[in-house]
Amino acid sequence: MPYQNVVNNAILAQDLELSSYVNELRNNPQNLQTFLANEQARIISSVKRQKEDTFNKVYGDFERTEKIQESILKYKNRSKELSQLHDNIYDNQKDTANSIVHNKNTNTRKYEMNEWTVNNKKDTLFVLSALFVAISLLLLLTILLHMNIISAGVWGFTGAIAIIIFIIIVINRAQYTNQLRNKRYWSKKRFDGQYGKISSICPSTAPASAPSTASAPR
Amino acid sequence: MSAQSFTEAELNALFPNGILPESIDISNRNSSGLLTDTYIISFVASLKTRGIIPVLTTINENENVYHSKVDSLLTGCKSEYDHYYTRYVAILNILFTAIRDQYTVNSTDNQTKVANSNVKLLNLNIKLNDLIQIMQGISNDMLQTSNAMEAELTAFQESMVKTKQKLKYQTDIIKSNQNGTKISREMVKYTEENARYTDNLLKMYSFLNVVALGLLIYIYRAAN
Repeated sequence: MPYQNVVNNAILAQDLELSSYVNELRNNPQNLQTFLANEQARIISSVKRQKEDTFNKVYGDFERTEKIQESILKYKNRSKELSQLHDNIYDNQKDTANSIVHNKNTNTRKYEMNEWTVNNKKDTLFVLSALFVAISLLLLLTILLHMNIISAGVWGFTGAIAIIIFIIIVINRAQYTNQLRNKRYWSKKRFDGQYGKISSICPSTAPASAPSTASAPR
Repeated sequence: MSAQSFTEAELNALFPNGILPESIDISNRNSSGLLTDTYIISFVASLKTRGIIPVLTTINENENVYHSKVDSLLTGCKSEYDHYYTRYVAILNILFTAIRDQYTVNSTDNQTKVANSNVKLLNLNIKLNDLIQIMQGISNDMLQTSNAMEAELTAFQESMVKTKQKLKYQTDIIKSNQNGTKISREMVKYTEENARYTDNLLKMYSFLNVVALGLLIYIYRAAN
């Protein structure tokens, strides 16, 4: 190829020039020594630079790796400390939160108990008022009987009906409260699974990972 | 670094307590004379076992201890490199001077000098290359250890997210303390008042019933 020939010719020309230069130097030992000293210095300098560059690169990488690892170690330590800090805060607040939940639960339960008792009293009041109505009716009938407006038969029949109605009311209330009424919520009736169980559709108020303390409110 | 002059004994002196092994089997080198990756990995592992390279998991939390240990390792490597490098430069000068002398005066003495210097230079070059390869191996190993810590960091982060959720829930409870407790107490108070009111009604109806019953008995007797 033509360019290869040009290159070969150039190399040959350089070699010839170098050879003639070396021959020339041999004739002049002082120049030869200077040339050799310069070349030696150049080569040694080049080798040293290569070695130093390589070492600097490796040393720099080593230093950077150390910094990276140190940063990661610090990051890990800070993360651990932060995690412990979170745990400490959680532990410190645990008693307060537990006490709050406990008080809230106690108040709620107390409210439920009071409500049940009040409603029970109201039921008793209903029975007493029914008794009062029955007695008042009997009183009225007795007055009418005394005034000879009604006969003894009517008095006895009507009075008996009033007493029977009262007794039915008493039995009904007592039976309902003792057997069917929910023991916790006055207005709830117990069906004892007679119609199956209704699944809850209400969303949970506690987070997925609800803590053991301050458990999900009722 | 300028070339220093060394005696023969100093040129051959090994670096005391360095990380380079005294000798490396030829089977651990490739065709270019460089150490094989397998050997570097096993050698770095042995350095870790000997405690020369600080291991993050054993140092554990103390970053200052880790920092000082790695620093001393770095300084040690640099000193060891400098030790061999200054000798390498000195031998290089000796070799080139010998070559120069050989060029001008072709004698057996000069030939021997060149050959000896060449062998020494070769040995020192191998040591420098070995040291560089081992330092690279240590860097790679340290980076891999850093990667291994990722799992630990992820665990911490997950733990923090969970605790944060729990704290939020806890804080909500504490925040709701004032209003919630007040309402609960008021509700209890209301039921107590309601109970008292119902008690009064019960007493009144009891009294009315007694009066009505007394009246009924009185009228019934009066009628008879």
